[in-house]
Amino acid sequence: MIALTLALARAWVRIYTRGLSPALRDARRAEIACDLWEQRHEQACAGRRSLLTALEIFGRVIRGVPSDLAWRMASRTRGSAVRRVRLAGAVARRHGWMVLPGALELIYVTGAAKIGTPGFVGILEQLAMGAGAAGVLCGMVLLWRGTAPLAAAWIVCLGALGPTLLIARSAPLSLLWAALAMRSAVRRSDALRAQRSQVALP
Amino acid sequence: MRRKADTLLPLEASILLAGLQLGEFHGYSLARTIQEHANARRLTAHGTLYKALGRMQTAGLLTSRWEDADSAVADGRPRRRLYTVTGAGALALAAWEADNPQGAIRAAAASPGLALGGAA
Repeated sequence: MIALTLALARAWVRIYTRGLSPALRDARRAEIACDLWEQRHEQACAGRRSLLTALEIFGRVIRGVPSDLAWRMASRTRGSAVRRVRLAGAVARRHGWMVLPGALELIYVTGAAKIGTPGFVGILEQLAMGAGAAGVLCGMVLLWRGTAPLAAAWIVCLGALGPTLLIARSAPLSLLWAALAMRSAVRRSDALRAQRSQVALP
Repeated sequence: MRRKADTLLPLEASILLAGLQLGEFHGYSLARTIQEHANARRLTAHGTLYKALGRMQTAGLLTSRWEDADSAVADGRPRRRLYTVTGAGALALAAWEADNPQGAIRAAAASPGLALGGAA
């Protein structure tokens, strides 16, 4: 009975610490393992019946479940926030050059469209500008997330180039930014390909 | 349970009181001491106890260290995480006792080794 209760307590700790940072996870598991050992050892030395010890340990585990879950949620929130900040920092370092031309391009695209101004551009051109701005934003999000970088770069390029070439017929900033985005995407694809080929090697 | 900043929960006050009595302590010894102080039938639950210890450590009321592996191996048991009440913890307990005279009297009665306000 006591062995079963100890196994249950350890299993519960393993469950609610799964997915946490290794330092936090290992510290909590070690602390609970120590607590269980101390309780069992003390009560065995005192000659207490193991059934009573097992029931007491079981009660401590069950009564602590809400606090364990609350602790896990708080730990995960802190951990994921830290991970997101780190990821955002890494992406900003890698693609920081995109921020200024990207912002300028968006201002240019949306400003040139003057969406909603009667008679400035036709409805089809406004739609093209809107679709272009949406394409730029989607491409930037994909580049930011690091998924399908080549496709993301193409979406950005088409989003920026298409409407501006169509309407303004002059988009030097679009060309510059498209070139930079393509360069970054190609480099990233090369790096991914190199990683995959390394993994494939025996 | 929502609470005002810079105030102690009853469990935290009990931890500080027991911790000052024990000096350096580990989780189970703390649970046992709190049970004796409160004359309770049950030990504090694992989740409640270790969550409070972590929170208090983050707040600077406690510090902790892992004991040497050698001494644990020599005794044939797992390593203990040893906690100590900090000066800030002692001050927080003294402030809590001043704000909660009833709770402090009960705590002092349960722990004759510590006088009221003796935590400062």
